[in-house]
Amino acid sequence: MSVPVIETDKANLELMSGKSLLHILKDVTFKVMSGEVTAVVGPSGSGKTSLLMILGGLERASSGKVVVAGQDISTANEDQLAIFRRKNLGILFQNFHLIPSMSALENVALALEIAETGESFREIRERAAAALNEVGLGDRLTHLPSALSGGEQQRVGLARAMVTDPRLLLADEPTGNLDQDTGAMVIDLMFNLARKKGAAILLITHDRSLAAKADRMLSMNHGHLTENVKEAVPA
Amino acid sequence: MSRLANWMRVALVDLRGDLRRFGILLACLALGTATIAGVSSVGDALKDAILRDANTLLGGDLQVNRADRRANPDELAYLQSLGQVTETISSNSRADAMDNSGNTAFLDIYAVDGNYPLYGHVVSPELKAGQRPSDLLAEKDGVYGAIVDPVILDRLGIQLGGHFLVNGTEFEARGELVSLPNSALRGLHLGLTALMSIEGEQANPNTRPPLPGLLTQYSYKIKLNPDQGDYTIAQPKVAAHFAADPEWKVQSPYDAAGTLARFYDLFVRFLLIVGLSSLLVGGVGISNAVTAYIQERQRAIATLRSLGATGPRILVHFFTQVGIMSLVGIVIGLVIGAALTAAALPVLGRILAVDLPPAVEWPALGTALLFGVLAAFAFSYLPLVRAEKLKPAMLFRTVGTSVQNLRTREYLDPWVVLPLLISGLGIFGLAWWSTKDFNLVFYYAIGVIGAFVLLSLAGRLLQFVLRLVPPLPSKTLRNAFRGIYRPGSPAPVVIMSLGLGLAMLLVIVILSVNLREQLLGQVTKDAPTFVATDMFDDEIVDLQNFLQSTGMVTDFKHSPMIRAAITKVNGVPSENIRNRKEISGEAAYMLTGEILMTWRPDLPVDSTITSGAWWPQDYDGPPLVSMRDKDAESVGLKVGDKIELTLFGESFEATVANLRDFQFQTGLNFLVTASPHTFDDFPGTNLATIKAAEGHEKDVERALARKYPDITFLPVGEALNQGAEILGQLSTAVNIVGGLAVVNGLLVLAGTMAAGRKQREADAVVNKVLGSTRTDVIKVFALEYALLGGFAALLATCVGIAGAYTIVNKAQMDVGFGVDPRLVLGVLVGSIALTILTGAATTWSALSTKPAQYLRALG
Repeated sequence: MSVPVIETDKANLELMSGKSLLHILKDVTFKVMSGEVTAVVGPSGSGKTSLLMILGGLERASSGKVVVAGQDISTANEDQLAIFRRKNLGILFQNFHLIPSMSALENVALALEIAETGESFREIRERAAAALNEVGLGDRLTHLPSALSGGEQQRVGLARAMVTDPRLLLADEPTGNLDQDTGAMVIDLMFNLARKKGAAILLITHDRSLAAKADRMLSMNHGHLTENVKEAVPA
Repeated sequence: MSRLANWMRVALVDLRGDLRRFGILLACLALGTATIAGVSSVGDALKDAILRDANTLLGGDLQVNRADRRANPDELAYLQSLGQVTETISSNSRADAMDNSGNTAFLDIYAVDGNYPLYGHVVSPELKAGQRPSDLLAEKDGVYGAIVDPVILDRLGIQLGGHFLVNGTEFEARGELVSLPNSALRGLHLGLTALMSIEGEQANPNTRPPLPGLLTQYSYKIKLNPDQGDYTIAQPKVAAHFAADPEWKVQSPYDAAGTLARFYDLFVRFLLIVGLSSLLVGGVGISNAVTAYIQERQRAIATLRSLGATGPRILVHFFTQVGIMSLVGIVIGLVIGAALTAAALPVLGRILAVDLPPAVEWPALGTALLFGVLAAFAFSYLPLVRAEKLKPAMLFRTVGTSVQNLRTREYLDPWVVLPLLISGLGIFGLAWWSTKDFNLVFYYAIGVIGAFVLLSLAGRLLQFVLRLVPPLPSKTLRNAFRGIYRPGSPAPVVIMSLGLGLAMLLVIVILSVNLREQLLGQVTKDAPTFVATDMFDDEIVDLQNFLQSTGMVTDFKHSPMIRAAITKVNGVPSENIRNRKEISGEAAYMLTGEILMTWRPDLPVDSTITSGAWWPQDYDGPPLVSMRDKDAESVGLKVGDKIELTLFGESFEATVANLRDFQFQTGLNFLVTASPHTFDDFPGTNLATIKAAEGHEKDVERALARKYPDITFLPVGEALNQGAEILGQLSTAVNIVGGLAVVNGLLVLAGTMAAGRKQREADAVVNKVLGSTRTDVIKVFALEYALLGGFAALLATCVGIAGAYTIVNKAQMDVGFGVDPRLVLGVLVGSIALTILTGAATTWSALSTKPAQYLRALG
């Protein structure tokens, strides 16, 4: 039976900018079910990334309820949120954010090390290598990020995000720094991987053609989240 | 534990890559630790050597000595019953060449018997192995032998084997003196050392010390017989034997060595404070470097957080990295410190006449290690806590390049404040333990904390004030002001780094200048070249005419003098007072016996009355005296108290009318100056001081010796200059250590500027894109740095002067206080120039950045 991975109820986000208060998210209420691929589209500054941040526990909602993977994260402290992330989330960034001093393998293994799975060092490395194999980088294990192309870096990012088998993958403009073909390839890889592992995806994007590949499309406008009128096309 | 080990392992993997970013951290720590390691090692080695060789340095297991006479046969027999005894007599006299050249040399005579030395060796190329000095000193054909400082030969214009006269006795220079085994404990002495036999020295018994104060010392050094036990048993026994006669002083090697050790201890303590300053200034560099590192890694930190790393894990991760690099810096510092010590010890040993072979002082290195670890922790902890508090949301937002400061309430978190407090107390405790001087460390700590707080507040205050300034017509000035107060400006850090570095530099320079002044006075500038006593009025007139005729004298002063003793102080016999421990050396000397006194109607121009009033010019009442304030206070005298003066067998009472502050070097001053007519009933003479024109000292000396063969002109200027030379070498050590603190300050400044480089690069690019020329940009930067440098220098001047004043006055460093405005001005101008230069150097590459290149890299 499908259960909600994301469940928000009138979530608001207000931030101070200088002396003025900005109301970024306004009464956001929505659900994402397990295994569901949801895209959020909207213009710059509409609040898409802020939504992703409160879902990832990277920013705290000013009011309202935010339940992710069955856990109410609106009241958790920083370290509880960190533990929550390592157990339930994978995050894919527009700028990849790989650790430049670590090889592709070490970057992926880092997620497992932080997750403290109880595996041995060797097991962690084997699992990380397998994850990189899955994204087609089995021959790039020892390469540093600086020696990888943008598409390869994003694939390492994807392997790192998925290696811990998260229930939810948050992807923030994952193709924003890639050319169209590479972007499409990464998105396909991401969707396939998520489906294979049963993870839900919340994809933030400007690109409506990418969003169209999702199970469902939501629109963010001036902090209001609405269900898109267009039927989503399965990826 | 395995979890912690796992966290640390990941941190180590992440440490790979460009280690150059730790350059400033390594350099600051290495330099600070090396300074402390070097200073502590030298101090320990010096103290160890002095105590280890105490017997040799004293010349015996026990020494008894007095200033007024030799031991009588009974006393000598008693001393000889304790063990082997050697008698030595220290005195001063003049050596005259025998060729009518007028060549003279003022001697520090060390007369010894056949047993000398009981420990160690006299070093002279003419002394063959196993040969005793007495072999060369013995009388041969009516001529005594002498082993002399080679300079004496030059002065007298003779060679080895040449003859000269001392007090009418003929001596032959039979050896060149390299060193006496006990020269370190003999300390500074007036004149060039000549070793001779007691028979030779005593051949003319009708000599008197040329000046009171140049006392003859009769010493008996004893190598104790085994049945006497060691000095701990013998010393109380001998002291009890001589208890009835307080003129006898009994010293163990450790009493004597202890005095020397304490002298060097003061020196080492001062150096240790300088070394600690270097480490603390470097600490700001450590803090800046770690902040810069965290700033550089903040996206990686945010990534780790987004992957689920907890705060403690982030702290451990970066603590491990910074800790390992700090340890590397500390170890480099220890190695440098140990190597420098090994190289410096023999050199220092030669200067101080102590055997100091190259050695590694492990306890001192341990102390330096602890200082390094504590300083590294104290200064890197806050930036690391900031890393822990960093929020991962920044991965999604455009943020400035600076890491956010903690909020006030976060500083009060026990996990933030307690480790800082503990490490601070650790540094304090270790400094206290190392210097054994609570006051010094306490006031130093207050000063350092005060300076940190003041400089930190001042930086923010400057930003606040500049923000309030209405827009100025000058675009350059406007932009420079904006550069200082804009968010993320390096101004507070520059003010802190530069201000603290400069303040420390000023404290060091002011202290070392004052220490030097205190020890030497205005020696080289104002001290007379020659002093002569007991001159009659007609001789003074004649001398004045003669000196004028030579044209080689720049100053001639004379004053009436008489030799009198202070025999009672407020009715208490002087001998009961002068041996008290609390009495200063000069005050004790004042009560020793006959000293030079004078009388005059008017206050000497270079004196300041500190208590009481000077007598009227025509005063003709009961005897009044004026005394030097610190001596009077030392023996418990105040205005209105009475002293008994004794001369020519007669005694009378005089009242203390006033106390004065004066320097001996700056004029003709006496410990006791009486009111006019006080000594009318006694035959007075004159004391004269002569200042020879620079470069003509030898000519004047020769001319005086020829014209006045019966008068001894003491070459005090030369003796003081010899002292100045040794102190000069010691102050070179101070300057080297101080210089290291300055280098650390420069590193900090460079580090600060380098850390702000990214921001300047961004500013430069934006300015260039908007159409500013490179000159426009550099003008703004230069003005910004000039303002910051000037502001920091002004603050540093206040902090530095206040710090030095506090240390001098509160930490019982027996040093006077004065500030040379030229020195302060030099520091001010130098620091502004340095800030602009360092800023320009680190900005140059930012200015060279092509806008397109930067913007492309920005993505």
